[in-house]
Amino acid sequence: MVTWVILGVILLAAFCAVRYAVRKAKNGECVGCSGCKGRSGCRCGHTAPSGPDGR
Amino acid sequence: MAIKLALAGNPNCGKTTMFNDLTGSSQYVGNWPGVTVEKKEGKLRGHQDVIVTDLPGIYSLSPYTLEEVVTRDYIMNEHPDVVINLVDASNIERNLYLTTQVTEMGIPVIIALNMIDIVKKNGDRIDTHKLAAALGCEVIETSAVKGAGSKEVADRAVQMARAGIMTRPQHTFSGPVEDALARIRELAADLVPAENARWYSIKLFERDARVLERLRLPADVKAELETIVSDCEKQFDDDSESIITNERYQYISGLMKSCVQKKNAGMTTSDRIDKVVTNRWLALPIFAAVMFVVYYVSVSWLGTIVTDWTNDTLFAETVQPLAGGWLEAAGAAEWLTGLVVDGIIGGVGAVLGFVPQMFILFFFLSILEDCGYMARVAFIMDRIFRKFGLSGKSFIPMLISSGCGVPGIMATRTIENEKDRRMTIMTTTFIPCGAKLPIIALIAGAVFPEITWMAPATYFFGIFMVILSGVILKKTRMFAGDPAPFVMELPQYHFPAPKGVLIHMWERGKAFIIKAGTVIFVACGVIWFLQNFGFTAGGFGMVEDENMSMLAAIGGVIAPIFAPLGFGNWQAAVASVSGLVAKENVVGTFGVLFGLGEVGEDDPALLASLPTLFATSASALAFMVFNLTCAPCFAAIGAIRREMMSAKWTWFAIGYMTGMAYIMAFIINQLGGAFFYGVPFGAGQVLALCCVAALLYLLFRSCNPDRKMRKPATVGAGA
Amino acid sequence: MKTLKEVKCGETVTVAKLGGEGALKRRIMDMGITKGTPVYVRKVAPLGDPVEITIRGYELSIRRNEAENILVE
Repeated sequence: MVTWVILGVILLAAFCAVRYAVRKAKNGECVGCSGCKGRSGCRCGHTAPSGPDGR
Repeated sequence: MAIKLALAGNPNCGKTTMFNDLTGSSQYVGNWPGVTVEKKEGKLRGHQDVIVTDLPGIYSLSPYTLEEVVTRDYIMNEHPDVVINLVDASNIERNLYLTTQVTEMGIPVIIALNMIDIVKKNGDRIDTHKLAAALGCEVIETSAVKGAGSKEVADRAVQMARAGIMTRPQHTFSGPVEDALARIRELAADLVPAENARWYSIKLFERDARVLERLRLPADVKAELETIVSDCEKQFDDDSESIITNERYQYISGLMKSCVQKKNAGMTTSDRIDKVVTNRWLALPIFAAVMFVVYYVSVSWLGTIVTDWTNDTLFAETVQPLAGGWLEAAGAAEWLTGLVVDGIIGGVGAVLGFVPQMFILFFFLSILEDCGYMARVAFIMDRIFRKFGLSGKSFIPMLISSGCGVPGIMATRTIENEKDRRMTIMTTTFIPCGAKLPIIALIAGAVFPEITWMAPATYFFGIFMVILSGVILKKTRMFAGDPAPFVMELPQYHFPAPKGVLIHMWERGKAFIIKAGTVIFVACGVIWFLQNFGFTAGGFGMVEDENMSMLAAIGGVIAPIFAPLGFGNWQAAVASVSGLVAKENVVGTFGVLFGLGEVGEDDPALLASLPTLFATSASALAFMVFNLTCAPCFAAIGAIRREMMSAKWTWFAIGYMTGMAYIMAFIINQLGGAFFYGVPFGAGQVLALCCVAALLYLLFRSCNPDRKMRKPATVGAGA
Repeated sequence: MKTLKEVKCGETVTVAKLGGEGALKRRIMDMGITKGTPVYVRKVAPLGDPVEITIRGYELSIRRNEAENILVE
């Protein structure tokens, strides 16, 4: 009995994890990166010093 | 009706900080339609119905680059109510150049004189009233990084929008130019809207290609225009664009004399540091030494200590037995205990064990970035890179990739040359990212414990692969071409703020922890399942011998491919493939397969059992090299696809990387084994030598004549 | 008249005329390198390229073979 309960918990966690990863992938963000909605603004791609054209 | 504010200014003037300040978490980031230029919009905090758009950082409004065109089009077509022009006060002359252009466009402008704290610290003084009068718009001092002034600017801008205050540019050009502009204005009177007349006259005078295209002037107007402009050009002995640019800067020079007082600048500390660090002869050795120390400390020294403790003590001796004991006591089935203890904790634990190393590495990298050193490195590497067909601009994505490849790939947007850009995207993941660190540490620790310089060596190997690829690819027809021009602004050095460094370190490292708890957690569960279940004589069920499992079956199919590389067994094959999901999985998979610490005589420790997978130490090295340089994880592949915007190129990139990885690993295994580990010289070695020969050929073959560098033109007598 | 390419490290010169055309010339000018502007050559990168100059109060780095389009005195 205990076995199946624990297994259920694990599978639920796995399911949530996969859903999270898929959602992140759809938005083009990295897993774990708080993305561009976060307080500090966009980080994951903007650490580059810019060239003369502002790119 | 919503009020629209736009933020415009030079790159590096603090626009992003101010934008974040003004909009907080309501930002939306996307792309300007049809182009790879980023568009950021957000709601202004503290106001109803006010939208702030962050325009791309630009130095000018010429028609030559995407960013400039996007900005012009936005201002002319979307009619923002007010433009907030951020001017970097510590760099004021060049920033005002853009200001003169923005004020001509016919929309209200307010200037945020940013980084005023640096100016004050240097002891310089700027008379903002005189400045405002000379430019025709209000000037408000701000220091976005200190959070001062942004709110005032935004509030004032909203007021301006509501009151309908106009901005009339005060700067004028010299007599003959103003005459020409007046005539052009008359000429085009019916063809352009009145409030933008000045802007259009100037653009027409400059023969701006996009404006000409859009206005479609009748032939007689065009002819008349041409006469006006040519006359002026003859008078000044210069082309019209240059005339205007010169005049703008002349006006600004005059402004500087009356509005800005500079304290006499001697050598700043920044200059002193530069003297050493970018010194002609010392710069490269210093860079090599810096990166060596960074990787050595993060991985080989501090890192190993922490990781050993985490793997052996924390997980193997404490967590695993605890969990195992608890599950047993709860009455859970044995296989569940196996899943939790060996599979999940074993796999995720193996990866988590390396997280401290990643944090140490990111700590150092953040310091280097925040202090301004990394920008200088691009400058240093430019000459070397140019010899090999890349530009120094390609180096910046590579620096970022040492943390994570995804932002590195995205950073290639700074490279205008399409070919260079594609080539950089294809090679930037050769630089080991944070996720590859566990692989390096594991192989180094298990197979080469005496070689403490293994980790820095892999970083330099990554650079070597990039350069190698650059040379080879540039000689192919697909990529040949002149290297991109390299005009780059160098920021001042400044002491990195400790809080900033820690935040950056945490931001990058946090991602790996979350990744471990999600992606790797699931992957290890799956691997455990495949490892412990299979189809035997009795049907489908748990297997005693892992060699009978589904995992072994799947791995067994792929394994032969890796035989020439020295690791043709199902374990190594499966670990490598699991790396596609996340590179840490290579270690995670091994963690599941072998267990972490001393669990018993039947379960040897990870470090001890790993070498058994490899024929020779050279094979272990080949395994590491293969996994470090083959196709990156799915996240990175996704980024490649987005930046390449073409499936064909994406496949080409992946194919190239994996192919090179295979060849390199092959050479290392065959020749390394023969020369260092007593493997008899045979067919494999011969083939490997052929590969080396082929690579050397591709490297050294002559390039096309039109690709050779222009010979320097000798102008007059020497200096 | 020499080009910026031939200027030695530590020298200060004045821009006399700009060669080249189109986008590159425009970009060089946009960055503030215009007729009559003083230019101070701060640093020459290892292997001689690119060159770091101080102009209008800030530092800029340009390649030597772009600098050859900038005539100075």
